Amino acid sequence: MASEVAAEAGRRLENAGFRVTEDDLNRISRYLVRDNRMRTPATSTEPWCLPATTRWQS
Amino acid sequence: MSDQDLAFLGIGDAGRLIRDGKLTSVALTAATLEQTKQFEPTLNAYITQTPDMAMAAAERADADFAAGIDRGPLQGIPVAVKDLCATKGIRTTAGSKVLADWVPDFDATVVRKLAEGGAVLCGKLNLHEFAYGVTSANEHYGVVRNPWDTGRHPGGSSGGSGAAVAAGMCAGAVGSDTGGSIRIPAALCGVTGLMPSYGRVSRAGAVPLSWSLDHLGPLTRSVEDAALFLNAIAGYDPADTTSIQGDDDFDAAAQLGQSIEGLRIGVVRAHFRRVEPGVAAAVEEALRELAQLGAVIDDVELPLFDVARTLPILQVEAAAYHAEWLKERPEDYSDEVRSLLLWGATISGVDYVNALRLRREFTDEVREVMRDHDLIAMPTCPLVASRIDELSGAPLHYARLSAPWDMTGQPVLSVPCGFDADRLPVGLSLAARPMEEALLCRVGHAYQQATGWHLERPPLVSR
Repeated sequence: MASEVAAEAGRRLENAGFRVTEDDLNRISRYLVRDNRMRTPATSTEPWCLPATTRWQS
Repeated sequence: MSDQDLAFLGIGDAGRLIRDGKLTSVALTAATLEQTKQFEPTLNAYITQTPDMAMAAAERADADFAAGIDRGPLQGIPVAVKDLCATKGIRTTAGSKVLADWVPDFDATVVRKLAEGGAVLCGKLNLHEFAYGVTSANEHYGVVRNPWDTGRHPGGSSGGSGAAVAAGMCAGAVGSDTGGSIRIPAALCGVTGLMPSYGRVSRAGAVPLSWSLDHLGPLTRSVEDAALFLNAIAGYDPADTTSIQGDDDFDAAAQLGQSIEGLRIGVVRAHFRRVEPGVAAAVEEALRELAQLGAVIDDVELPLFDVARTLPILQVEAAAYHAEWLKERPEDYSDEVRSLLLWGATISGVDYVNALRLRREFTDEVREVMRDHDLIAMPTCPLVASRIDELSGAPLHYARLSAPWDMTGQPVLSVPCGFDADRLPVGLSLAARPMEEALLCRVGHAYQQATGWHLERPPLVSR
């Protein structure tokens, strides 16, 4: 799911005028996974792989 | 006194010796430069050294003393600044290739204040590229190494500041803190770091990472020195729209030496979750020591601590600052920092605004707890310094306990509080109410007077 979010992010970045490489997208995808893992309190049962952008929608 | 002992003199102690006529700034500066010559090749703490300018400044300081001119506690003291503070006529890179050739024609306010206070500038310190990271493994200017174990990171982003102060290569340094970048290297390098109240120290002329989160402040070897250093660089500055007005009598050293009997210190037990055992043990022992000194320690809760997010705010503001360079010269950024900035550019307005809303709620929550608590104590970093050659995610956790405090505007002090089993330094953080740096320094100073962890020297320089 993080890679899909990263791919969508890549499209948005290119539309905004940024040059984005495949390596950039892979790194962003990894950051998204790590970020969700770190933000989740240890007591939570929430899956760690939820994309960052869904956090505030629930 | 050996040259190395001179290089490890604190700001307060050196100032007293100079004013008593037992030491000159020239001798002190020469010893500091000699220390730097010996250990800089190993540590890589500096991007630019200014030894000739330093000796000239030391001679001026001594001449001023001889003429009865005393500009304050930093006169004649060797200091250095993180290389994101503009220095007139001296290259200022922000640790980046983008600004590799920038020679400003002005001084950052903090640099001007140091000069006006008679400080001796020894150079510009290495950092994580554009202060966007916590290891100070700089692709453009080389990896900064930790004096306690040169195979490990010093933390960051003010890693050069932490390493230089820990190794006696300056008596104090300016760092910047957006998610922990003063406190993390202070903890991992075994020195004292003070993030002042937001707006206490002008950021004018400092390359920003995130406007609403950036703080400038000192790294030193003691709390007394941090208070003296902060006094020299604090103050209202119309060039920084966030600068605090109306606190002209500010004196961070005003309460040094006073008892801490009866002060209430809150501890969030959840802060000890997922903390390395050696870190937790040292911080628990520090809390016992504070209780011995008369402080009242009790548990408090901050439920929003793990929910409030510094990162989206930092990422969006950083992406805004870098947007044009990022489009025009993306190849001039390291892969790591470019990707972090691009990630920031993808965060939605909705996510950013919700992060700001939570920032407000978290600040209110902390304010409520601090109605009846003078301080909140916690580990500065959940873990000790990580190995440079290990590809681990450990550094990502460095800022977990420090970053939320950049959102609230409060001053936070990190002091050395012991070592883990591998003799790597551990830091204790104390957060006070906004504007209460003097109280913070009073408690930190009392702790250092009772313990002495801040007097330990790294094995690299003790051989």
